[in-house]
Amino acid sequence: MHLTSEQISHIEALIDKAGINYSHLKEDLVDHLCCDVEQQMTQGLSFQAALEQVLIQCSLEHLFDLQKQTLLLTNKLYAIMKSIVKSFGVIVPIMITAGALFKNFHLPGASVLLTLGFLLLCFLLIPAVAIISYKELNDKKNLVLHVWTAVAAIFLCTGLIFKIMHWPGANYIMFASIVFLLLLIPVLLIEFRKRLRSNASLILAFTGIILLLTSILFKMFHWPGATIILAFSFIIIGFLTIPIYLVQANGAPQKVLLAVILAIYIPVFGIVSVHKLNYTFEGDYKSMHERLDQIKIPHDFTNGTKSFPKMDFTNNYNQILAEFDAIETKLKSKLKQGDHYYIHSQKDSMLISEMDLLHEHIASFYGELVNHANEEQILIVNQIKEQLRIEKPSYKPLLYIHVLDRLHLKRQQFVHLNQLIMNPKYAQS
Amino acid sequence: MISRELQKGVLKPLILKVLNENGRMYGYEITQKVQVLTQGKIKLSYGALYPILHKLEKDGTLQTESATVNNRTRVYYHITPNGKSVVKEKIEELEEFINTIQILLKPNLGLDTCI
Repeated sequence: MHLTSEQISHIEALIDKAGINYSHLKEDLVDHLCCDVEQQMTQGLSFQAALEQVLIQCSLEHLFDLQKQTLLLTNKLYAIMKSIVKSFGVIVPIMITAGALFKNFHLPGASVLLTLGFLLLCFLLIPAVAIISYKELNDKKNLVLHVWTAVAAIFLCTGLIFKIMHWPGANYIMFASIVFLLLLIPVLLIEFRKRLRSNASLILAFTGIILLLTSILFKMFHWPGATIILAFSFIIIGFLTIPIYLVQANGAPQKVLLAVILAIYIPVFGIVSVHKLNYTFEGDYKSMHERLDQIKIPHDFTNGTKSFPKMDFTNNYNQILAEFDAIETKLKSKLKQGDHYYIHSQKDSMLISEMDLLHEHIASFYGELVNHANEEQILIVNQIKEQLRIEKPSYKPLLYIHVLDRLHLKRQQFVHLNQLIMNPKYAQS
Repeated sequence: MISRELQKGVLKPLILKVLNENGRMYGYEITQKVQVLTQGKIKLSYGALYPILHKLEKDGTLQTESATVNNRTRVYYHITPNGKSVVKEKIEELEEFINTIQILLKPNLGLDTCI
């Protein structure tokens, strides 16, 4: 008994659906399945019944695994990438999670862990996953898609680490990655629909992710409604996509695990990216300066050539601090708390927080103050400078120490700030 | 049925031996041959057979040729001239393994008499 051409094409379609396309594996398997079906049919079964019988012993998922096994044995690059993903796929998430925890509790080593983790993620793990996926699908048409996805993912992760570490340019990288991802989603949706049988949860998931990315984009440009869009995306993902997916999963442990991981990671990612990371472009810094300029500083404080020399620097320290507190309160009310601002000088740009900026302003008042100090006062200042080993002839760092001391700021913040002030280019601007 | 764990290591030499004795064969034919020869005790699954065949082809031990049979493409495997030495080596290795295991399994020999 031999199968008809139609029956053979039916089996061929099944093999295609299983995603078998490596070398001549497809021909091997079509012939083998046909032989098995013919064997079953000789015992009196119909074609359909015989095929079902054969597929019970050897499911389509099993055939795809078979292709992976073959790749693992015959393709060295694939085997290496697999082992990279196996080992670093465990190490990197642990590093990043530990880094995030360390950072949260201000423990040492957080930056190293985070930077290294993201570096490995961007330049080892993501390319490895992309190569594995490309090899498994073994379709030349997918090359652009894979490169695109990998680049978008690398951009996103690089943007995140730049953001977390306050390195300049983070927003531009994040912006590029989100544009990349948004352009990618429709293409991915079409690709996935080809392979999956039911697509209700898939379309919902993609809608949710599009909304999530859009809300980040809204946040970046300070358009209103970012939070509302974020809430919508959570409703779609949390109350529709994941439950539907769980029903479809039918209790398969791997799928349930994936759903749980998604249910935890997507809200965390969404909330962190919309609320905790602040996206502020250059323009905001200028507008913030305008806002600061509007604040009226007590006349004798900034321009007080008359009042200051009379003031004893050491004895009236408390009085100065009281003034400082008053100005701080005023400035704080004008600044958006938690925001970060870019400072652009001629060649350099730097990200500073609202608090840093505040202290910079306050310190400049102190700078005025010391400019009018008498010899004795300057002597005291110099003594403290020596103690603190400040080499450059500037009063500002010293004044910072007063401010920082009072605010109990962390060392890292101080160093950051100090660099800003010590930088002559910045001082000019 | 012999357990898969035990089968794992001997499949490659087994497939090579069958191919060596029968010349040109296709996948289904190999599974049938092995099943008949072992009286059904060893059944080669798809997942066991094809990764090995492709690996052997990649190493240059096997070669393939395609022919259209019953309206479909059939891929035949045969051993290359260079592959003959690999076959010999693998089978000798398997024989040595079997002999070694037999020594261990023989009664009143091996560990018991040593103590």
